Amino acid sequence: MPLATTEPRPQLKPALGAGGPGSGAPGRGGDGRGPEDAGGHGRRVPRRAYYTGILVGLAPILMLFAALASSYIVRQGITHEKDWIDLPLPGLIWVNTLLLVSSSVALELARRSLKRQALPGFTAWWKIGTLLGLGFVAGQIGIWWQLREQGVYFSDNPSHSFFYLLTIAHALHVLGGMVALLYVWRGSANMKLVDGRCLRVDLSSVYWHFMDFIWLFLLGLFLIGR
Amino acid sequence: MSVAHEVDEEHEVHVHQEPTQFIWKYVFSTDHKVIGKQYYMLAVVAVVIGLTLSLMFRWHLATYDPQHMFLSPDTYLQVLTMHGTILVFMVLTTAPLGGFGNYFLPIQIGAVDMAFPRLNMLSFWLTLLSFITLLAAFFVPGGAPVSGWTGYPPLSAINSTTEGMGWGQTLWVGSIAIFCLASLVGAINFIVTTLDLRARGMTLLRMPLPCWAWFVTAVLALLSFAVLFAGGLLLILDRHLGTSFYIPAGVIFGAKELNHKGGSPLLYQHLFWFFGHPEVYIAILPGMGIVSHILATFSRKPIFGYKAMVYAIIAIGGIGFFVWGHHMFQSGMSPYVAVAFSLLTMTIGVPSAIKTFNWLGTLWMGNITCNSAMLFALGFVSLFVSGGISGIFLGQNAVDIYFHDTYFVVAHFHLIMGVAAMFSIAAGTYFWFPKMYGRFMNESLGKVHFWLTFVGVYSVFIPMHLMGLWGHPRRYSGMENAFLSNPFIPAMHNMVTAAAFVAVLAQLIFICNFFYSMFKGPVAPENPWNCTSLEWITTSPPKFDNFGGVEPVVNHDPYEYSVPGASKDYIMQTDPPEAAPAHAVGHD
Amino acid sequence: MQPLLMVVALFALVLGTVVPFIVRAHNMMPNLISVHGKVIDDQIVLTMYITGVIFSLAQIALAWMIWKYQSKGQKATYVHGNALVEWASIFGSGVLFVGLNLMGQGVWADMHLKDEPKGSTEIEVNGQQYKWYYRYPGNDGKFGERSPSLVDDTSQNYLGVDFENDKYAKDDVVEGTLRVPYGRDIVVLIRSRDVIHSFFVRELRVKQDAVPGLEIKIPFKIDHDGMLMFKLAGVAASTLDAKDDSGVNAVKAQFEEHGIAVDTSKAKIKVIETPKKRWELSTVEVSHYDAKKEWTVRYSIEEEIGELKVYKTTYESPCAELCGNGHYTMRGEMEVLSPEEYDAWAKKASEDAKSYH
Ligand code: HEM
Ligand SMILES: [Cu+2]
Ligand SMILES: [Cu+2]
Repeated sequence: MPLATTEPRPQLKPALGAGGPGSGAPGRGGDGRGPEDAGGHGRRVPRRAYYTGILVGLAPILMLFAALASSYIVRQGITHEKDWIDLPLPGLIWVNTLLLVSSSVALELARRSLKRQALPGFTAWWKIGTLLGLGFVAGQIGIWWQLREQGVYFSDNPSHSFFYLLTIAHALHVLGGMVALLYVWRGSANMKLVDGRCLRVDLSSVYWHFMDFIWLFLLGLFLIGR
Repeated sequence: MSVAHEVDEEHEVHVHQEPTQFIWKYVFSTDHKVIGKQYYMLAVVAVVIGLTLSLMFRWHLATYDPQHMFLSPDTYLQVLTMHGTILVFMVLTTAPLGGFGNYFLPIQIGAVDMAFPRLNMLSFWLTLLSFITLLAAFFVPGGAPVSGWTGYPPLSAINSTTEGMGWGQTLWVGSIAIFCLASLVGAINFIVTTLDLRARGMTLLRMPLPCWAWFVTAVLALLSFAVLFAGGLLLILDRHLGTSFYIPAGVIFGAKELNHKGGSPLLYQHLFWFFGHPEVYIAILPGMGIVSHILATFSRKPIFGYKAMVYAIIAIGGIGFFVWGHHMFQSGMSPYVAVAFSLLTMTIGVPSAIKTFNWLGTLWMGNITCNSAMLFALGFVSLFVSGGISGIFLGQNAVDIYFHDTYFVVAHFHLIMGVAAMFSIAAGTYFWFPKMYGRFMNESLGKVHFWLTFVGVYSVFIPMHLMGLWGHPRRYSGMENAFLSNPFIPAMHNMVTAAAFVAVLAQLIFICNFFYSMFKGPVAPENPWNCTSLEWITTSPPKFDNFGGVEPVVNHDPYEYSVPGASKDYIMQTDPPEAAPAHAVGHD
Repeated sequence: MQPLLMVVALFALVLGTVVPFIVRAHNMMPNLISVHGKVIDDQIVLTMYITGVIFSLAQIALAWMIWKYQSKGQKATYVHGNALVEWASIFGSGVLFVGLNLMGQGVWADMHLKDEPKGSTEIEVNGQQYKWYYRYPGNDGKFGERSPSLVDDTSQNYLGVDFENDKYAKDDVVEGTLRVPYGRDIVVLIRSRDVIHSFFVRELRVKQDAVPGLEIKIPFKIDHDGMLMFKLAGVAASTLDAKDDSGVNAVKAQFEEHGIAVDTSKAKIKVIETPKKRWELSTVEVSHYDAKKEWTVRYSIEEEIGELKVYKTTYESPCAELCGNGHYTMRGEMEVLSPEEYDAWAKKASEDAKSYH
């Protein structure tokens, strides 16, 4: 006895109470693109799945950096042979930090503008944020270049290896985020808005703020215990 | 600038047709069912390779003669390393989760597909890439690595440590790194699908147990593979960029001191086992879920203590992150930490004991049919008990002093991880084959397969405990010394090898049965086992969108068998609420 | 049919496992010679009994369920579980497992957490691919300095000891055999110069990884009485006619000579002849009972062309961590000496070393 109970008008509602973000408004099925009409495989993925997805997706990144950071701490702790030479932190690192944090702030302002339907504001802030982010990446490259000039190489000391490794790993993740920011930038002319929110904008800025957080965490790591 | 307001506020709607071209339908498919089968087939190929390798080194041990070795010592270790790696990663991590999980998680929770089908496809293709990379290690100069599936540095970190540590080892690490990415992508999909795509009425505590198991497994994968990735990354850097994360100062190879700055070999072990212990549960948890499902179905009884089972799965997953040090009692790690790890390890025995109790409780006062699926599920319970028992020895730090790195450990993890997980895969296959291919597998062949395997594996691994008690170290390719040439040891090796051939060759019966039944098996109806979960309300095999365009609504708990007063002995999860008379027995 | 087969199989499993494991638990491990090993062995045996019971009960329960509730068209009983059973299994298994574990922590603490006893004999155990080298501090009781840069295999300075400049080093003895006195506290300092190895002597119940960059201390003590028993058994074996029981009294007399009271009512000394394919093996079993401790000594002698060679005092030390292709060939040798023999040997070896350097 298959399909004892079926619904003529599919209405998907969160099964376990109120779901994550984006589930505020009640569903409006039957927009002419439902499964029946589509005749094919109408996949209805609730918007909150994307929010869940990004949050879940950040977990392994956090674990990656946590693993590397705890390796750093452990290695720093066993300096019995005095073979851990602290790396001279270039001043540029503070400028970069400022750039990254302010890019996050700019993206957040952009998102707020969007919510207020202030589209020009959104575009302007988003562009500023993206450019500040690019500035951060350029600044990081500057740091590596500067250190190289000073004769600090990747493999000459564990402390240096860790510094390069952590900053490069972070920069690669930031570049991934940068692709997303540029993608939003490019598509800012025709965005899908629901309740003043746009999925890509939200997702890429969540990711970006997370990169901020990781960066501050790394900065703290480099500062303590020297 | 214009902002198009999306009509549907809550859903992103992707409309796609079932692809018609072969390549999009069967190769680069985003359909979870096709991806599930792809994963399964990958595991079948991997299991054939991995088991063939094991026969090679078993033959070597049985016919051991220092003058005429079947495998040279390097080849022995290469074969051993690849056997372990292929089976742990490409079989035990792919088939139960990537295979069955992909195919049945969405259906069992009433979804049309995974949340992110394209990521799902990516995850499979990355896994395949990782598998090919791993196999390539056989064919590079120097051959496959010899450092075991655990790949401890410095052995694995320096090319000159021993033969076979060149590109083979690099490919090995590369393969593992790709595998990590694949698993992470897959895990995100599983978690989001379970959290956000459940059908109406399918609350978390109405999910069938396999879904819970897949979900918790995905969480384990999500948190542990990233750490393994970090471990592999540092290993590659040490190998190729001259860093010293793992290589301590003053190590000497080829009679000269290497220029390294003082890393810590133990660091790798921590990173590896932080992943490694959860990994063993990644291999077994889906099996526990599948077996629970099958036991309930063929005992025609609700799962005994459904909630306890769910909490036990969560507890095993949770505690599993805090016991990795039990692999390192003798490693030189702080002995105080070892005490803590040891105590935590013993607590993980508790949820394991609960599961066993509840499986027995499920059989109790049931109406048990012993078909192939059920036999393998029962075999799983027996194996899980046997393997868990040796865990009680190994988990005690003092006792592990003697057993660590002996055949006792080999016996333990093969019984509980290797063989038990394989049993759950076989059980799942006999159980779900009718749904996946619309045909039954041959029952008689299934029973022959079961008996040869069951007797075979026990005859392989019980004697290994004895060898471990006798103090036989693992990963030894030869035995020419006074102690091991005690007649007891070669006799054991011969017996184990004979049993191993029986157990492995029995799998050929299974594979033949599988492919034959795919085309020639008797046609299966929609719900041949009178099972209650959602995969059985749809056609066999399910249509492209699983439920033929209708969304199932769930009204019942997953294991409502033999409800007093009901018209039949099972109530489908989607049956109308009235299908169940006022519950005679309350819930736990 | 299937339920019956299942019952048969599970019973066969229980018998086939429990009989060898439980009944012969004492004899499944190599002879024990260390003091702390007694605790480990007891713990293993206790665990074996407890888990043996759990194992048998669980497998038999499984068999019983399969048999009793096999489908004969009956209707299954609709039960969802039982909170009492759940909680009982949680507390029962928790208390049992954790309690068992706690019992083993004493010996762990003795080996790893306490300072080694004053006046222990220190010996360095050095692993390298695929060989063990042992260093003794010599007559000055102090190890000399060492450095990786001094390692020179051609002049056999495998450990890089500074024989040239360090006065403490000059009398250090480096050997390929581990010699240890029984009845004394010993500390081994375990190191490796290349990959990870593991120092393992079965009869000592000691296993510890040798990790490059670390030096790990493990204390142990070889049981005085036990070794004496081995020696006596060795003597006894060589004086006994393998086919004749009459030597037993002679052996008893020897024990009594060494101040070991033999309770004749309980002690048994017997000689079993077991001809084997490769070896002519004779096993002398000497069981000695005493109010405080009880132990069994199994003893093997190797027969060589009419003459008995007793390999009573050397033990194998196989490497127990995969260290490369030659891993299986990497085994050291440990020879147990009486304290007097050891002192004499150590003195001489140290003097020889000093005159050589
Ligand atoms: C009762 C629960 C368990 C306990 C107390 C336990 C304990 C242990 C301990 C202490 C070791 C390390 C032994 C050594 O290397 O000296 C070990 C090894 C291992 N265990 Fe378990 N275990 C349990 C269950 C499991 C399960 C459920 C699995 C897999 C599904 C598993 C798979 C493994 C594997 C693969 C190894 C060997 C890893 C290697 O060295 O290659 N164990 N177990
Ligand atoms: Cu583990
Ligand atoms: Cu070794």
